[in-house]
Amino acid sequence: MEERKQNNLVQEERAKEKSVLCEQKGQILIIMPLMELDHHCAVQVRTEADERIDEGRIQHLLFDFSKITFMDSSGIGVIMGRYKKVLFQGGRIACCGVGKEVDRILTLSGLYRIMPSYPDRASAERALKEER
Amino acid sequence: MEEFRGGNEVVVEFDARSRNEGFARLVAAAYAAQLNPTLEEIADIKTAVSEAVTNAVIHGYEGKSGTIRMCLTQADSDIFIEVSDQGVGIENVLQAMEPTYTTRPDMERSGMGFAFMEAFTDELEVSSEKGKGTTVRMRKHIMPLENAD
Repeated sequence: MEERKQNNLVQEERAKEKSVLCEQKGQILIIMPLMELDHHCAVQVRTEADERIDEGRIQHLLFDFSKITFMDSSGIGVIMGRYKKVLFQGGRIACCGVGKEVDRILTLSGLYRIMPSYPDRASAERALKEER
Repeated sequence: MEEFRGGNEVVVEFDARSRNEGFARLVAAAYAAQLNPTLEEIADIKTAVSEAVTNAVIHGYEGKSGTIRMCLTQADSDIFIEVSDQGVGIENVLQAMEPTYTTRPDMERSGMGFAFMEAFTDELEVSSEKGKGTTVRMRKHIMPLENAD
């Protein structure tokens, strides 16, 4: 049911040409790109995510890639930029729902060293909540 | 480097706008489809084209208007992709191609564009002249079906 609700929401936002869905869960901001994460969409993802981060109470970021099958180096820039924003307040980043195509980019760029990957949202959220 | 083009030419010209990055990827992927590429080979081509076109939009024309030309040819099991702009050009191509080198950290450019083009194709050649523009040529080998695992 939860998943169906989310899928409907994804459809609606895509229809409005929105390239990202942001959702706050406690101190974690979940950033879910909805369209191929290239330079064109990167601008919108960055703007929307930064608005939510600057509103406050966000410590960690979780990138949910389950809705996209394409990302290029522009996506790397978006992740790095957001990482720097939360790093100085002791925040961490993680990702989930990584498919084959996105995995190639994350591996090649070395981003997994700062952004561990989890099979699903729940396990990623748990890992981010754990004190280190 | 041997002759950097094949036959069966397709040329598309489009405005240097970010929304055309996705269009260029799809055109290149559709062109490559005639050689029966694997999904991974298609993904490689899409990524390489995306990086080349994004560079032309951001750096070549610096966000201003201009025309990007993409020329696709093939020879045997190779796809040749040529992306050119008539923008500002690159003064030092070798420096521009260094991984993580970027002239636009303000735009959160990761500086990995050329590194990705190099990683996802089999050959990359960049020629540029300051004030005249830049041409990126890439060759991607598509493994023929009978040789695939």
